[in-house]
Amino acid sequence: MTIFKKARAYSPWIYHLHCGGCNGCDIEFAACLAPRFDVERFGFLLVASPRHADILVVTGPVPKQYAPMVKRVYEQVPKPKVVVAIGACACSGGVWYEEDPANYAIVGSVDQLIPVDIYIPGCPPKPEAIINGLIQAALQLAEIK
Amino acid sequence: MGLLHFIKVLTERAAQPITVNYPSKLKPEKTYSQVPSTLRGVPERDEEKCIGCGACASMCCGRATSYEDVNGERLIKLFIPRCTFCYHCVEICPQGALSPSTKFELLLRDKGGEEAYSIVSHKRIACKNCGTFFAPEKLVDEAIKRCLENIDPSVREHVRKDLEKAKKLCANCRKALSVNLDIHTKKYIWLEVKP
Repeated sequence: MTIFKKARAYSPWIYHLHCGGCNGCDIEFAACLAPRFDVERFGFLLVASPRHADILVVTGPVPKQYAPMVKRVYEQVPKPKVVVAIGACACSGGVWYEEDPANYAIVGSVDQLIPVDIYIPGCPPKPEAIINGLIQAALQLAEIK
Repeated sequence: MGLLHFIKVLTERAAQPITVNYPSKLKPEKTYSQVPSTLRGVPERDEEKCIGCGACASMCCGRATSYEDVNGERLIKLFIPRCTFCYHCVEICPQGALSPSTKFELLLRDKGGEEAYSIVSHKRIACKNCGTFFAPEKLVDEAIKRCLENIDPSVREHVRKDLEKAKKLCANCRKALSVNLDIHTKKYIWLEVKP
């Protein structure tokens, strides 16, 4: 069992789910995968299907039309899974948040649809902040922390 | 020539990896890629300078800053996950209580927890007559101070006495008791004092 946990901590696979963001957070996340910040030196790998992933990275405020797809993608990720919300929009709705009446087109934050484990606030967050969050996600995946 | 140059460049590049050694304890100076002094992080609030006027809350475009009046307290809250670091609050603050910071590592596990909020509380004044709480004490003091700074020096002492009386009453009681307490504004016309 401990071998499985250790393996999970050293090679977590990421699926990036983009739900209606402005691409700011996505560019910062792409910078994390590029050689300058290189999150792959910790064993992270970007995969093309949620069925292969351990960590689900979500960016952007979720449009109401896209809400069912977010749930479907979350269900497709095999257990154990960790969800990381990147950016002010995914964490809390950001500038799209409205109290009363609520925004007619935007759900707001991702945690209204799926359980989120780690929030990385910032608009957009610096790549270092994203790396910090992903490492914490990997540790949580292996139940180390 | 071409080959020598190629080998030279190759060895130079190989000696300096461009990857930022981010979570490193061995070389702390190379930990971060670039943290310029103008990097926008969460704005920091000076509790002593803040007077609780709520200008930051009215200016916040993302509804991250808000204020709440709970009995004898006014709570000014900044919900950090919603803050986009636009710094409208820093620009508008009349007291200069908010200052920019470069704090960017803001990882949260619990969105409703204490870490997600930065809260400052202010004491509100209770009305001497009816007992209801109204404006924060610091805000009223600052308003009186600014009013006396800008007023004509000949009437300053006179107005100061009136403001000290009016400070202790809420807006409704001030209207009702203005004649009894001799703080009615029209008395300056009766007194023939030119402001």
